Amino acid sequence: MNSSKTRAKTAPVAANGRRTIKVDYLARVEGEGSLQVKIRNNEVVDCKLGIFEPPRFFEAFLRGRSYTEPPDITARICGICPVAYQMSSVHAIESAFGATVPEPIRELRRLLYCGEWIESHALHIYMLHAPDFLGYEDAIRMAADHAEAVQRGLKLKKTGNDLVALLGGREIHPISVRVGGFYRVPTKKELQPIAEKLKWARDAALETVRWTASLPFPDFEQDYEFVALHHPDEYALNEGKLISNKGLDIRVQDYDRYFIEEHVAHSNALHSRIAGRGAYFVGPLARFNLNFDQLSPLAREAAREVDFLPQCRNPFKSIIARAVETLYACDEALRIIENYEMPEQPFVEVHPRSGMGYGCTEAPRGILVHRYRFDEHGQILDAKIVPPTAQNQRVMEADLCAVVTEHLGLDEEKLTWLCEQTIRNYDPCISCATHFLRLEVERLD
Amino acid sequence: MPTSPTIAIIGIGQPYRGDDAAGLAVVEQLTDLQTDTVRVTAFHGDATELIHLWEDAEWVILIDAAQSGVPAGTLHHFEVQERPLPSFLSSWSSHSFGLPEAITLAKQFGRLPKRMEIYAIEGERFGMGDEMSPTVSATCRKLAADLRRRIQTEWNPAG
Repeated sequence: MNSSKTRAKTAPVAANGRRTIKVDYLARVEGEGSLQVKIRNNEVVDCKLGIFEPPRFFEAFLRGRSYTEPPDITARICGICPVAYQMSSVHAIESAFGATVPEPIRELRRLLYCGEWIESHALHIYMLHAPDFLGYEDAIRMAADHAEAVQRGLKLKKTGNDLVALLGGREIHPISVRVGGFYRVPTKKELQPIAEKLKWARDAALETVRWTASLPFPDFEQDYEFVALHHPDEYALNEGKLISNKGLDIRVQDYDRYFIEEHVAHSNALHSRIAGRGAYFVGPLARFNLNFDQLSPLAREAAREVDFLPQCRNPFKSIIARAVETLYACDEALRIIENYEMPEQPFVEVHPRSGMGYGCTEAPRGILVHRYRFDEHGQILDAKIVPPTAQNQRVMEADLCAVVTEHLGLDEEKLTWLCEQTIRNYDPCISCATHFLRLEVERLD
Repeated sequence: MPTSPTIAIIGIGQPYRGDDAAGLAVVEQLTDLQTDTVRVTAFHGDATELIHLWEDAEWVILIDAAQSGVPAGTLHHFEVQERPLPSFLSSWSSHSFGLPEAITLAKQFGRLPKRMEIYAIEGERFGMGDEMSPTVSATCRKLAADLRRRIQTEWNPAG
């Protein structure tokens, strides 16, 4: 396979009193974007996360399509979290048509989602983010000194992929999900081999919690508004209401009344904010802080063991939250498999009608909102998709400003490193948000 | 885990990007060789999975597309254990993890098979939705025939 991407760095340049650090391509993120920090007289005057990948027009592609198509079309938005797109779309469509699915289908959806969480989180923890903490340029160099950890990460990721492939037909862009359920569901016997792998993965995830908690963390905290889906009886994946640590408590169908998307000049992804308040934080740390009580006893105990407790306001510790969630996902997957009874029908019939439906599920990176409006035949009149990275853009920019402000004394190389690490706290999927992160720190002294 | 020694023939590529599908096109012509000891895989997933695809194999043949600047259809061939990977085998994923990284990691982990060969077919069209170039198709057919002959004559799991 080929790629035109190359990694290029230029050294700091001194010209006319201005100093510039430029990283043409920031690796270890999904997609392409740029980052610009302007410093004047030792003060940060501007921080912009620019997403210059052209808009992808998925919402427009969906207009005029049948209600049966969004799970497959929107899954193509992302190779890392296609299940999230499938889940948010089927929930939105079923909500519009007043359909509900039986418990076994609901559980299978959770099981599929667990697979995606495991593979996505393991990839980010071990291959993308951990090198930042341990001082390696990438996971390959890290593996020379931390071979056991990297092998554990790769095997964990594979377990997640295997689970998605088993339920979804293949690990990337699975093909078994449909409105009302699945095209095919597994037999109880078919799930047994993956259960054995998940038992290993659960132990490996527990080790991952301990390993991530041992990393060196910058002393950095902010007063965030964390937003996540909340369900009283389970760690929310597919269903629940939207809550925050600052009083938000709304139904998913009221999303548009409380959240605003707006265009900013430097980004092809829309920025989101909470009406009247501003930036908010979605993803593993938000979920951990808001839904700790719904984690499995094993996941809660592991978090306590490493003294990682809500309310954590240090975004660098998102890597521990990802590890706890990986443990939870293994535990939850095993619970579902143990209790699984094959449904009589793999799906329920859904009858289209005119109306609007919202779906919000927890993608590995945070809440993913879908909204569809249909005519009486179930043809899509308009669609809206709000991915987690777009929602985190404002808070990423705010973090960057604060981190640079607190570390102005660092030399350019260390400051650039810290900026990249700060952005990777959010595991940004720029491909989803509209792809390439270019970092530029400009000192206008 | 298979009890017999295994050969893994892995075609790597992206089915929707013209000549990038060369590796897939080659293994597509070899699927009938599948036995307990011959594994033929078309791979267009995440490169972090590659190590797992070859981990229990004694002999691994990887087929990929290349873009080094020589005429399209040119066939590159080398044994991984014999020399460093050429630079034209670049990473393709957005997080910079591709075949070279998978091989480097396998070396670090001591998980390289006894024998690993790479065939890389030079391409010229890599655009989304492009058709495969006739010269690349011709090289795929010839390589598939050559590999079939080699496996039938050189692969002897009992030996």
